[in-house]
Amino acid sequence: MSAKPVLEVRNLFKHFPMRQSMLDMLRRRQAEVVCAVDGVSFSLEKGEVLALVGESGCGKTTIVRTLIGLEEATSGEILFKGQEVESQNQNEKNKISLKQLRQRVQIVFQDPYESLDPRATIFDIVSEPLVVHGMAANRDELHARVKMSLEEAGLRPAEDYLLRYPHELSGGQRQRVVIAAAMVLEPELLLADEPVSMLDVSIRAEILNLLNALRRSRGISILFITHDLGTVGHFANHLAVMYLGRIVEIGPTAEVLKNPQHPYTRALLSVVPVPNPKLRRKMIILSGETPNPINLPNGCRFHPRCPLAMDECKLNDQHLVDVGNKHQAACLLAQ
Amino acid sequence: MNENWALFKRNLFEFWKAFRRNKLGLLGGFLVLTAILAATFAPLLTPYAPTEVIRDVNGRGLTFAPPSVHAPLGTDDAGRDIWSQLIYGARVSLAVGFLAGFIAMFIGSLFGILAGYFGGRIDNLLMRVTDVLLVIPDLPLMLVLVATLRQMDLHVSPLVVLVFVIGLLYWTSTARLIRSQVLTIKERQYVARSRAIGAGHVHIIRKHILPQIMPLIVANTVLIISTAILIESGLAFLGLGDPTQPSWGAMLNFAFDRSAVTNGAWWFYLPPGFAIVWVTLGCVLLGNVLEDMLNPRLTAHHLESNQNMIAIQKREGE
Ligand SMILES: Nc1ncnc2c1ncn2[C@@H]1O[C@H](COP(=O)(O)OP(=O)(O)OP(=O)(O)O)[C@@H](O)[C@H]1O
Ligand SMILES: [Mg+2]
Repeated sequence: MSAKPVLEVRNLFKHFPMRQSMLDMLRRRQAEVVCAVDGVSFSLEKGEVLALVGESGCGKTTIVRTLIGLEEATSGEILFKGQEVESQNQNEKNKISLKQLRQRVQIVFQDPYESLDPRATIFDIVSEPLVVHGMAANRDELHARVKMSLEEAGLRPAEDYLLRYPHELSGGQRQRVVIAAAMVLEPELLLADEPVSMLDVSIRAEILNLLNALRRSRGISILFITHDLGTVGHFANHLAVMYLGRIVEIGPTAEVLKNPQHPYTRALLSVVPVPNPKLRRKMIILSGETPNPINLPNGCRFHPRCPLAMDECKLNDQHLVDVGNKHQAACLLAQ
Repeated sequence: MNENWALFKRNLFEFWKAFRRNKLGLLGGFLVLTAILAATFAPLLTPYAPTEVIRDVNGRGLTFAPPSVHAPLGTDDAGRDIWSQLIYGARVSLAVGFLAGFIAMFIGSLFGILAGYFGGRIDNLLMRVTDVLLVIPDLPLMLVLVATLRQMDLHVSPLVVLVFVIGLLYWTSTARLIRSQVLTIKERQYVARSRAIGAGHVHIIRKHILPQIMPLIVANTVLIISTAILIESGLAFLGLGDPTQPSWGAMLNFAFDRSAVTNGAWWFYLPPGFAIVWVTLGCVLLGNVLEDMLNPRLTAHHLESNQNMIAIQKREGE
């Protein structure tokens, strides 16, 4: 076994060019870009869970889509087990092809109502990865593996589900189907894009437990995306907080939760409901709206909303600095 | 295989359950089905061959005879039975309509899918071709084409020429329709998921795009067939059909040639006109109802909308 991380992302950028109006083109204005992902680096070890937290629109989904090749990165490197991922099927040597990557990395999307083909049966959906990669020698094997995967995802007995259509299932069951389809290839890395945010609160814990159990039994790594800091504590080994396309704080979960350095992380933590009223912190309500990723503010991108902003913050775009215990934060005040 | 068959039966049954309740759809289906049956069993339904001249006791042709026991719909100027011609004409009209419709559907779906899915150059090409075909008036263009092709000594039946000219000119609206559907479907998340699994274009088109637009294709084909039958009738009426195998349009052409109207021989020109209306009306009714029933946008969300309704009712009850 190599000691290389399962996934390593170095300085990933993804900018979407905006449509320009004819007038602007004639005026030779520079095309505006949406800086959805703006210099993100992290790595994920085997069997670990990295939680990526941030508010809506900060670029979490874009990272996942870029990792699996649904979007082409503007720049930056993505390494899977130390091997670079080829860009756009060019068959470069020493690089892992997209098709291979998509066999070993699987994705769970946010919306279980949208991510299942309404005209495919559950069997079609779960067997699809096996068919696409030619992983089942015959129909019996296909059947056996689909059933096993469904049961492992908590849909028992599997026979009852095989010939059903997605609209005959509840949201939680659908997400289990998505997870079964993702696990059927026995991937090494699972990209879970807010797998529970569209589900009823009562089902969320079940799905999270399922993911946790799969991680324990299979030893897969999970990139777990969420905008809910409350659920990640007992689940993720590492925590990365994102703000407007950048990671502003990253470190071991316990460490970050106990000792948040970035004002944004503190604000997020302060609004997480805590059962024990004595432990409740003072709520920090952020003022102002999220600046849009088209016109990023100068200096630190959080300064317009930061309660602790100083003059220096308007000039200095602080990058991640070590604060000890593998904990990094991008703030001038971090120590 | 067994399960697929069971699944197919279940889908068919559910479709029938919904279809049965639709009166207009049933009427359309009935009209089309009777026409197809008549064409299939033509020899059993007709007392004479369509070209046979009915003669009276003196051996003279029974020309322009009104409906009687001998000829249920009367006879034409040469003494041939109108009813027999009508039933045999269904064969020609339906065959031309269906074949041309299928050709148009096939080309239209192919171009629509390719243009919608891949975009770029194919899309541009398709849109320009359809633009050109849309602005040229159909009927004059077809007249010119059919007339020229018939001059060219191709050694094929004029009906084949008709089939190909109609089929090759009538795919553009289908292509645009399919293209716009594919454009929305390919952005759906399950297509993205399929790509993220590692599926190639062929797999995605076959497994995710085609099943979604198949109902649309079916409904559209039925509508196109009705157009094709109308156009065939129009061209045949203008004398571009096959004189040896008269279709309904050709019958009308004869009727007007032989001045059936001035002779008051209504049984000569009304039946073919009525038959054309019968079939095209049937196709249009059936096609519209199928389109409503099978439209993927209308069926995909029926559960979600139901839930909303319950939620709203609850809120009102509070
Ligand atoms: N295809 C695209 N073209 C242009 N802009 C895009 C595109 N996809 C995403 N964006 C922009 O990139 C930014 C990040 O979007 P993203 O979907 O990654 O956010 P997110 O963190 O996943 O949000 P949420 O929590 O709501 O899912 C948004 O401002 C969005 O408008
Ligand atoms: Mg998202």
